[in-house]
Amino acid sequence: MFWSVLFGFIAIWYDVILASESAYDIRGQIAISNDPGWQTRTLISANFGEYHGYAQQNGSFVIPNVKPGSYIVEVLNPNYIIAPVRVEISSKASGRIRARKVDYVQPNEVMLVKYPLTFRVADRTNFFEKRETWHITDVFSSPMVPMLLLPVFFMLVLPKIKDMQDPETKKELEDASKMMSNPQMPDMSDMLTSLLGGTKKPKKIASSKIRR
Amino acid sequence: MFKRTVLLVLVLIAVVQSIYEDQIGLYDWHQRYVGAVEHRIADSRAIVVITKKNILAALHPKTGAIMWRRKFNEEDTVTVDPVICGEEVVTYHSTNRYRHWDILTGMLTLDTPHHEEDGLLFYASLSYEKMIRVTRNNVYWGKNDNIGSSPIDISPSMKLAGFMRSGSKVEGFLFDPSTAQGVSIKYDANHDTVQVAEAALPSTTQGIKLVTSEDSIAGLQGDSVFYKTIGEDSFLEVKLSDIGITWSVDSISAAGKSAYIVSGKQMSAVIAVMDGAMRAVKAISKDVIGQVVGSDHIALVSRADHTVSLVQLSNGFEAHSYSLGELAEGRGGVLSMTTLTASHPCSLMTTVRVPGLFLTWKDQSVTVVGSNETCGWIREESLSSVVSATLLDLPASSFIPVSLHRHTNPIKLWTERITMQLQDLQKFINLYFGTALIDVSPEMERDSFNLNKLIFAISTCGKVHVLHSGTARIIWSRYLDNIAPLSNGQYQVHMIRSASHYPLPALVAVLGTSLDSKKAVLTVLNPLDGSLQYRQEFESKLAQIQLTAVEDNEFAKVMLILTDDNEVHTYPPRLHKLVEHLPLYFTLVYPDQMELKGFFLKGTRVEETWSAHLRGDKILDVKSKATNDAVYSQGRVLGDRSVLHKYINPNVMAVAVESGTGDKVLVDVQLYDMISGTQLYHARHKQYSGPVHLLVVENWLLYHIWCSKLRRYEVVVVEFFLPSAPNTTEFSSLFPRTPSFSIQQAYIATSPLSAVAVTTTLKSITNRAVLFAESGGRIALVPKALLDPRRPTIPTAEDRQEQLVPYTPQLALAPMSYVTYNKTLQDITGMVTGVTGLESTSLLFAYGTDLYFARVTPAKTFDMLNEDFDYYLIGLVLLGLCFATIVTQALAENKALNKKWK
Repeated sequence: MFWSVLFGFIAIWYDVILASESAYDIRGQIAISNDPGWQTRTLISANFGEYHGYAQQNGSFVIPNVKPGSYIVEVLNPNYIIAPVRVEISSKASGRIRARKVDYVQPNEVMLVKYPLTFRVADRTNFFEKRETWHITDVFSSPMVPMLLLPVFFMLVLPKIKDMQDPETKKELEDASKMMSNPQMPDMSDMLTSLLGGTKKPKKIASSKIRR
Repeated sequence: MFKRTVLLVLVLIAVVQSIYEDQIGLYDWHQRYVGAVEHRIADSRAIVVITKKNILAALHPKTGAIMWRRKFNEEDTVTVDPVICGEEVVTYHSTNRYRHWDILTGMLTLDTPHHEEDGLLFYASLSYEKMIRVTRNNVYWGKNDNIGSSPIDISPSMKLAGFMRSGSKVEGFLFDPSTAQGVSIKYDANHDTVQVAEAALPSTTQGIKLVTSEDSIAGLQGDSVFYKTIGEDSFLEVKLSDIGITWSVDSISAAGKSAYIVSGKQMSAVIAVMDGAMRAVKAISKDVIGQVVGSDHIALVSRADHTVSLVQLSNGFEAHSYSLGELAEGRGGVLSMTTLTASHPCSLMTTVRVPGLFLTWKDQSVTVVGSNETCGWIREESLSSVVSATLLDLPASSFIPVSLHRHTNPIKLWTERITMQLQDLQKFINLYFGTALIDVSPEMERDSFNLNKLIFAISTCGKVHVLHSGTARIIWSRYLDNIAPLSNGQYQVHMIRSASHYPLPALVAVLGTSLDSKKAVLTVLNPLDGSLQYRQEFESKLAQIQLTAVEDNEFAKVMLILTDDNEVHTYPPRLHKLVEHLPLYFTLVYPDQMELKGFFLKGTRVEETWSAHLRGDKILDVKSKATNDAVYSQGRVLGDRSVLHKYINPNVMAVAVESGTGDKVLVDVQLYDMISGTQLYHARHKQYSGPVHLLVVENWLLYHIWCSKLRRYEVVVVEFFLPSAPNTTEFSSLFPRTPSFSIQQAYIATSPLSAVAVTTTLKSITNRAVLFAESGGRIALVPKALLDPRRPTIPTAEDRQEQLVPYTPQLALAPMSYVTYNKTLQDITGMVTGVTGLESTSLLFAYGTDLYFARVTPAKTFDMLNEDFDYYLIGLVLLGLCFATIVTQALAENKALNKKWK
């Protein structure tokens, strides 16, 4: 009992002494795979440049001499956009450090993360748009292609299957094909003739059509 | 629902700007700098520098390229020269820490606090693996961590005068100037012994300033030099007249390895400690700096005529001498010199093999020179402190006018025109037939879409650089002597006359402050060749500049310069009568009095028309509209086909003021009409504080602000509209007809900003986008549609028809919206945007420690064919169509004929 009280007193005294002066280190570890030499391109910043830390070969970093308060710790690397972490250094609990997720929308919601901090990044952030390339599989994946192929299938294949079985349908089809070659239907070549060959200077008209 | 909106936002951003990976560096460039060099140490592997920008960097000794650079935060400065120890560079920081960096890669290998509270006296590297650190209480030696230490006790009144080094010995000398008492701390690396010895100077030498020169220390008192070499116990005195220096000298400077330069008003002299005695080596002209190279030579660089001479120390014989020539022109003189190791390729090619020289100049540039100017490199470090920049059009023709004389005689004018056209024709022929008879530089010619510009950039030190925006090459640079930025830390740069008025030169006016008199200075330059056209110093400080649309009879725009004695000057001079009939107004901000004042031009003076007191403690930012910005549409069409009319006032100015501290801090953002002084808008943000970045464009105001209560940055957008259609398109501040109303919305931003700008296009048809320069070093392009105060929380059918993006509290930025893609720009301080001949494309020039230039397309390049556009295919299709027409025509004719035969 006595010891705990004494200890408590010592703790309070310690806080009072150190609260204004003391500074602490924020520590952490970064792991970036498949980017050799990333350490030299990486800067760890607390509160957007108020304090800096630098990564060592093994990925560990220290932001030294940080006064108690709340800090956004970011890992800045040109190739990666890495989510920051909020680090809070308590001025009362003799520099106890806790880390939590950054939530700007609901700043009061606390979701603690591990401290010492760990940043693990695998894939490079894609800053670029993908250039469209043509590939044969694109044709099949397009919804337009089956939509086109299906009618063709019905037109060409289905009649063949049918007329093998039934003479009546064969007759029907013949009628249908007669209908198709309806004399009243305008002939394609006739149309072209009337369009292009009707006047004396067909060439000019033709070229103007193309231009359009 | 939330996910869907996020997706929609992301899709919308993706439409804006993004480049393909193979376009890296095609339309953009990035130049990296380190800043003005403060501390340096050279090695055969790297020249390690610490700069005014608080950057530690290693420069390649052969090329000058940055091998690596590391930036320290503001309170973590390096105050002493770094030390190279083996494979590492060691820096000691003001936060009482040591950091060891790999010299080749810049990797941090050790980061350790200094053990003692009272800090370091000095540190030095000895052999490959040994470092020594000396504090008042201990001497430490060893490499990474201390291998050994020895306690000493040095009284706090002793100040470090310097330390000497020779072979395995290091000696620090501490001196109390008030009592002339001194103490030496001697360390011998061979035996790891530490010895502290008294070494007093005569009591007459109180206040003497001592300089150390590698293995000796010396001070000048009257006409005597007191000196001591390493290992010696006491100081020796020598009268300068005894060694042949008969003229009076007043200062002494170290020149490396026992050599010193004593300089007087007329002449200087090199003196050196040889065989334990101080001797005079050579009398030299004043304003010369020197550095010992090799074992027996001293390199001397004259600041007056920029000659380098190599003098033998033992006999004063000049072994080699050459002029720096063009290299030294317009650099304001040499500041400091360091020698590089003898293995450097720029070693002077003389009978003695001595190293090249690393020079820093007054204009912040650094050079390495060898025996001639072709061997070496230049780094224009003044480009790391650009404070004002502007984009200028290139001339339509690269023809460089031969005579700038203007004729009044019509016949002469006619002949000049004809000769000019003939020369143009000749140039055209030369271009197409490959015989370049006259000097043709297509680089200085405008391209068909006006995409390439001249970047006119001026640095804090007064150095003007003009860069070509396409090639990033420096066209010319000029050191404007005796000029400093204005009170806001910037210069005013205005285009007075464009390059299209041949044979009159193009004119750019630069306004700064005179270093001597602190008065306003106007310098007018030709942006094409850098020639000085005009310079004027005013009698008082600059208050404001206004560029009018009025031109004089030589097509120069009349610029009004208001000085703080309420006097208005014009450039071109004395043209008040051209502008006196115009209603011209000035608005001045008085940050000390927290006041805004409006003035009206009357004759050659101004009269106060209004004033407004700003409540608060500090003005955070002031912004007004860009004068040349076009407004395409007067209104916005809503979903129900009605029109929301924009309140477009060209005379608005936004002011952000902070007041209170702690929990009571608040920021007032106000919008004033600069003509009438009417307050148009006022928003008070409680528990918000600076920094604030303001932007005023068309009918909207945008600001980026820190919310101290919720500890986050926010972007606030305010748009101003009119309740009904205005009667006329002409706006008048003096007779406002209808009051405007505003719509505002705030968004959460994830990063603080160092600058904010908006894209500008030729006719402003293209949707605007806001450029946010994040403090981390990226520049994001955010379409205005995302920063729209009318974004609905729950979109109605009409909103959807209007294509309003649903509201999301956080401004989510996709990686593709960064125009700097995977580049990080060091400390952006400003951005300039410019128009091109293409409506879709805007230009961006960002400056800070680095320079960055890019084309930005807020709505993609809708007026340009894709670069992968298949010209062959479309040509082939066209040809095929023509062919098919001819064939079918023939066939049709045949058929028609056949039909007739039937």
